[in-house]
Amino acid sequence: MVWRIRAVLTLGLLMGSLISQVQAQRSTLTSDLLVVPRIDIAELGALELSFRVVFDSEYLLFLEGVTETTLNTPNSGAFDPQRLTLELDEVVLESGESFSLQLGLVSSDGGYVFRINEALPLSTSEPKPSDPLQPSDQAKVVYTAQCSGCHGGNGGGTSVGPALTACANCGSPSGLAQYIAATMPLGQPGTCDAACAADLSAYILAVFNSTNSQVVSQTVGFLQIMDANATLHKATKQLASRNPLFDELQLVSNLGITGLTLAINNLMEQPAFYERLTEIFNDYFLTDKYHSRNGSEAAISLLSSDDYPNRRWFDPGSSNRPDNYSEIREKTNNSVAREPLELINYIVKNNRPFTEIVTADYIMVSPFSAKTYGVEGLPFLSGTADEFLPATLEGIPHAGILTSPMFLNRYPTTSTNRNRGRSRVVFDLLLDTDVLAIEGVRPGNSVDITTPIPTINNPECSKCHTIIDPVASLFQNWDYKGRYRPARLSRYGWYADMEARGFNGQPMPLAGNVDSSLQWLGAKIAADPKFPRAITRILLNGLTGKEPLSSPDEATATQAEMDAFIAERSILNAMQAKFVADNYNLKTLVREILMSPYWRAEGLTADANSLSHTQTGSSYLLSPEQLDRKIESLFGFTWRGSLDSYYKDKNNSYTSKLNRTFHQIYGGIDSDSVTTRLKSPNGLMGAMQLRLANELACYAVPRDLWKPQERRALFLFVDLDDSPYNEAGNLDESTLALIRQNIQYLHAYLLGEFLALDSPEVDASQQLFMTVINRGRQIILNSGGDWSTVRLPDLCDVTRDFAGNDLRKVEGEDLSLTQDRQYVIRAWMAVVAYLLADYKFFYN
Amino acid sequence: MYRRQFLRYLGGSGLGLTLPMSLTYAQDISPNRFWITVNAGGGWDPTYFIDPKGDKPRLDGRGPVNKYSTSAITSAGNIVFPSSYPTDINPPDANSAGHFANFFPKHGPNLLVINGIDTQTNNHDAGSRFIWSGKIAEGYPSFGALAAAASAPSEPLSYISNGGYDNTASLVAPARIGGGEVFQQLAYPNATRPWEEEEARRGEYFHPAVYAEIQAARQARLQRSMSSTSLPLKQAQLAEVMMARTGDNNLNRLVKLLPDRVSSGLEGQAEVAIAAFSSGVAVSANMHMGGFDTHGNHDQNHANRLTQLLAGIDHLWQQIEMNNLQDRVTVLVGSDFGRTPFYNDGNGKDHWNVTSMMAMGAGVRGNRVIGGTDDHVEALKIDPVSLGLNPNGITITPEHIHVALRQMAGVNSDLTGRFSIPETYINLFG
Repeated sequence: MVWRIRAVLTLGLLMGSLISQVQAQRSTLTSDLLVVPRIDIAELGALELSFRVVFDSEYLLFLEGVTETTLNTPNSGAFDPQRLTLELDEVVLESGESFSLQLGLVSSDGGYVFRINEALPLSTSEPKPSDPLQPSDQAKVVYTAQCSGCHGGNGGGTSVGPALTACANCGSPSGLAQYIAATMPLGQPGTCDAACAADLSAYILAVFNSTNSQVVSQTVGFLQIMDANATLHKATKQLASRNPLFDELQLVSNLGITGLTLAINNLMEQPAFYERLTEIFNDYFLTDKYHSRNGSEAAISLLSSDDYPNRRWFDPGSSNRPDNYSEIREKTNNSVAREPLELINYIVKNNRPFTEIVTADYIMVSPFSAKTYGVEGLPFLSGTADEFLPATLEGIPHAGILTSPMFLNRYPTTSTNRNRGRSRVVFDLLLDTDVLAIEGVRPGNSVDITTPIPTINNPECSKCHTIIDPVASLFQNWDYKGRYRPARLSRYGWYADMEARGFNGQPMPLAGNVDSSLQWLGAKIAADPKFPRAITRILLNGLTGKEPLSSPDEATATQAEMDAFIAERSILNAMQAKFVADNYNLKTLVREILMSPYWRAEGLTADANSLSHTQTGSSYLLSPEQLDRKIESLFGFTWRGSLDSYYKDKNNSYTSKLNRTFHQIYGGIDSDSVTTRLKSPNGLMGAMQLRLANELACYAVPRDLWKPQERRALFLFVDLDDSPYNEAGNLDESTLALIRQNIQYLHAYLLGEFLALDSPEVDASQQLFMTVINRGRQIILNSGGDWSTVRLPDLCDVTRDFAGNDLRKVEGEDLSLTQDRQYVIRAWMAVVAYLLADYKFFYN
Repeated sequence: MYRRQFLRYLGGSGLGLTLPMSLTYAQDISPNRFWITVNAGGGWDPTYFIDPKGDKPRLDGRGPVNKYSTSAITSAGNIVFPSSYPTDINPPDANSAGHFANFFPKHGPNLLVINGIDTQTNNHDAGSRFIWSGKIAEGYPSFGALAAAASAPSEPLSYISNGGYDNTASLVAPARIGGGEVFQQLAYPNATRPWEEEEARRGEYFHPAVYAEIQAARQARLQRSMSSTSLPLKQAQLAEVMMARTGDNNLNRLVKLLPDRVSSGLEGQAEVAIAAFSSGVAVSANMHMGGFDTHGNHDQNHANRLTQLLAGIDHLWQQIEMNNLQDRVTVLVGSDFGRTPFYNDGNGKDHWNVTSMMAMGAGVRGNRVIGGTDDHVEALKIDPVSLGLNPNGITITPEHIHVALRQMAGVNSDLTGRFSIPETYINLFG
C-alpha cells in the first residue's frame, strides 16, 4: 500500500508543474525543488530547508539550502534525530494535491540525501464545483459543433485530428486557450474567439484530462528503472557507440545521478554524438540522398551554374586534374550535401535555440563548399572538410532548412504540384501533422474538372487545400530546382487560382515579406506549439527506435491502450515543456529522454498491467551504422574481409561490410529509394548476425591474445597458453579462476552485462569454454596431432602486423601466431562468438 | 522442424501473448503459392500501352491523349496495344522482349488487363499505398506482406522487398536484398570460403562439432533471456531474433538455384525471387523500378522505362517457367496512378487518378481486358457479375482488386478482419 502511495507521489513529482508560492507551514514542491519553511533542529534552531529533487530509480532529495528562519513561521514538521527522519506535515502540489511525507536520511557523506519513506495523501486535485476553470454548459455545444468532427466525441482523436487526452498543448488552461484561439479550427481560427477558446480549454481539460496524472501513476509507477551506472552504459552506447570511459564511470560512481547528468552533458560535446544526430535527423529529412555514396557530384549538380559559377572549382580540366582530384570532389560534394544536417549540428553544438533550423539567416559551409558558393574570408581554423561555419549568401533570404537547396531538391515540385509536396513535408516533419490523413475521406473521383477552381471552390477539396496551399504558396520564390527565383519577377508570376500565402488561417502580410516569405513561415513554425512536438517525435525515434504512440481509435481502443497513450504523452508533454523553457536547447530534450522512466525501464513489477506496456522500453535493433561504430570501438577495427587484407588495404578500396555489402540487407537506408529502416531482423539478417559473430571472433581473439597484455582489449586476465589443464592433464584451479574472471569481464566488455562471479551466466559461458576445449583436445588426439587439427583456421591466424608486414620473418624470427595446440584460442573464439551473437550485442 | 520446436517452446513458456503478429498468424506450412508484385514507380501511363487511345484530338481542344497514331492500335487476342511508338522518339530495339510488338503477342494468352481503376488520388505516397495495400489510409500491409503472413511468415525471406510500398504492419519482416553473392555468405555462416561449391573446400571458422555446441549455447541463452525479462517489448524482440535464426534455413538451396552471375535491375530481382520461391524460403516478393514520373519529355522517357519493365516481366516469366512454377506464382503489375490524358507545356504528362493493372500466372485467366476508360480517360463502370462495361455498374478501385486477391491467396479472417476492406468481392481474376 505504501509503495502505491509512493508511486502516486513520485509520478506526481515527475509530472507536476507545481506551485511556486511558499505558504506558511506547508512545504511546497516545484518540479525539482522542495522548500520546507520551518524545521526545528536542536542546537541549530528554526531552519528553512530546501532540497533538490532528483529521480534515480526513486526520488532522492539532496539538501541544498539551509537558512535561519523566524519563530513567527509556523512549524512545517519535525526532525527525529534518533531515526534520522524528517516528518513533513503537508507538502502541496500546484494541482491541489497534498501529502504528508516522511523522509529518511540515506547518506550524509559529502552532503545530506533523503529518500521518501512514506507518503500519505491528504487531498486530491479533483476540480471543485466552484472552480472558476469549470467549463460552461455552452462549451460542450461548441465542442460538439466545432471540434468533435476531427478530435472525436470523447476527445480520443480521429484519422484527421489528434486525441485531446494528454494533448501536446494541455499543459495549462491559459496555454491551451491561447493555442485554440490562435489556430483552431485548423485553417479557420477566427471562428473561435478568446472567450470561446477559454471555455473550450476548460472543457477539454476537465472532461478529457482530469485523470491524466492518476493514469501516469498507475502506468509508469510499475516500471523497474535501471540504476545510474546501467543508464550511463546505455547512454554512452546510444550517443557515442562505445563503452563508458573511466572518467565517466568515476563521475557516476562519485556523484550518482548528478554525475550521470554531467556525463551525458559531456557526451553531447563529443563528435560521435553529432554523427549520431546527423543520422537521427537524416532518417526524416533524407538529404543524404545527395551524399557522394549516391553519385560523386550528386549535390553539386543541384546547384545552378548561373548562381554558383564556381561550383566545380576543384576541376581544372580533365588534363590538369591533381592526384587528389577525386578526394577534393568528394569532400566538396559532401559539404554541400550535408549543409542542412550541419546546420542542426551547429545549432545544437552551440546551444542555440533549435527553432533556428527554420529561422537561421545563414547557411553552413566548409572550406570546400565555401569555394563552391563563392564565399570568402571565413575564419576556418583547421581547413578540413568537417569544419563548418555559418555564412550568408548575398541576396538570398535564408530561412534555415526551408531554403536549403538540398531540402528543396529532396522535396521537389512541379508546375501542377505547385509546392504542395513541400508543404506536406513541412507539416509532417516540422509540425507533426499528417495532412494526407485527410485524404482518407476523399470523394469517389478526385479529379474535378467541372468546378472553376476545385481546390478553393469544391469543399471536398478545399478542406485539405485550405491548409496545404497557403504554405505551398509561401514557397513561391523558390523554383522546382530549389533556386531562388522570386515569383513576382517571373514571366507569369505566381498562380492566381491558388490560395494566397499564409499559415494556419493567417494571411502573410505582404509588406517586407514578398520576396522572403519562407522567413515569415520559419518564424511562424518556430512559434507554433506543434514544432517542439515534431522535434520530440524525431528525437524519440532516434533514441528509442520508435515514434510516440499514436492516438488510439476511440471506437476500438482498450483501456490499456488508452492508459499507455495517456501516460507516454503526458511525460512527453513535460519533456517538451522543458525543451521550450530552456530556449529550445536540443541537448535538454536529449537529456530529458535519456533520464525518463520509459528510456530507463528495464522491467515491470509483478503487479503491473503488461497490456499497458507493450511498447515500453527503449531497446531497439542497432542500425548498421551504429553496429559498425560499436564494433570498431570494441575491437579497434570494423568488420571487413580477412584482417590481413584489411590492414594491407585499409586506405584503399576495402570498406566495412556493414557500410557496403550488408548495409541494406541489415536494414540500412540510402536516403533515396530505400528510406525506412528495418526494425525487426528477418532471416537474412539473422544469418548475417551469425556470420558477423563468427568472423569477428576469428579475427579478434587470436590477434588480441597475440598482443602484449597491456595492449589487449579482450583478454586482461589470461594468456595464450593458459589452459585449464596442467601438464598432467588435471584441472588447474588457479588458471580456471582466471578464465572465469576473464569470462566475467567479456560479458561486461562486449555486452554491458555486469555479472557476479558466481552468476549462472558466467557458469554457462565457462561451460561452453570447457566443452569446446574438451572436444578440441579429443579432436587433436584422435587425429594423432595432425597439423590440420592444430593450426588455426587460415583466416584467423596472425601472419601480418597492423601495417601489413609479414610476421613470419622479422629479423629472422617467426612472430606469427598460426597454431593452437591446446585448443585454448579456439575455445576463447567460441566464447566470444557465442557472446557476439547475443541479443544484447545487436540491440541497444 | 526447428520452427515447430520453437513454437512448442513458446507455448510451454506462456510467452504466446508477447509474440509478434507474424507468429500468431503463422499457419506452419511450407509455402506452396507465391506472389510477385511489380511496381512501376512514379505513375505509369496506361494509355501508352494497355489502354491505348492514339493521337485523335480531344474535343475540348487539349490535344491528343497520345502521340502515336490511332491506326497503330492493334490487338493480340483480346489484349489491345499500340504496335508502334510515336514517330518523334527513338523507339526501343525491335528485338527487345519489352517491345510492345514482341511482349503482348507472346504473353497475351496469359495476361489479364484491368483498365479504369480509380485510385482517387494523384499523390505518389497515397497512390502507391492504395494500389499495393488496397487502402488509401495508412497502416495497411502491402499485399505481398499479407500473403507472406498468411502462409509462412517465419521463412527467412518470407517477404522480399526491392523497394516501393513494402509496409508490413509488423506482420513479417521484409528482406531487402542486394546482389545474389551475399547468399553464399549467409547460407554458410561458419564457412571461411562460402563461395566454394564443394562442401569440403569451403573451410570453417569452427569445427562442425564445436559450432553445434556454440549454436546450442546461443539458443539456450536467448531462451534464458526471454524467460527472465518482464518487458513485453524486449520479449517480442527476443522472439524476433529467435525466429530470424530458427526458421528452416534453406538459404543453401537458394544459393544452388541462383544463376552463376545474378543479373542487374528487374531481371536480377526476378532471379533472386524465383530462386527463393523454389527453395521454399520466400512467399512473396515485390519487384520495383522507378522512372515513370515523366512530367517532362514523356514519350521518350516512358518508352524507355516501359521497355525495361516489360523486358523484366518477360525475364521473370522465363524464370518462372524454368522452375516449373507457372501454376504456383501469381504476378501483379501496377503503378501509383495514371498520367494526364493530355500533355503539359514541357511535353510531359502530370498525375492522373485513373490507372490500370496487369496480372498473369496462377489463378489468373488470361487473354482478357476488364474495365475501360472513355476518350478523356475517365473510368467507365462495369457490371460486377458479367464484368462488362455498364453505366449503372460500379467503378473499379484498388479495393476491389485486393478483396479479390485476398480471396485468391486464402488470407484468413484474422488478417482480413484486422485490415478490413469494406468492399464487395468481384471475381476479377478467375
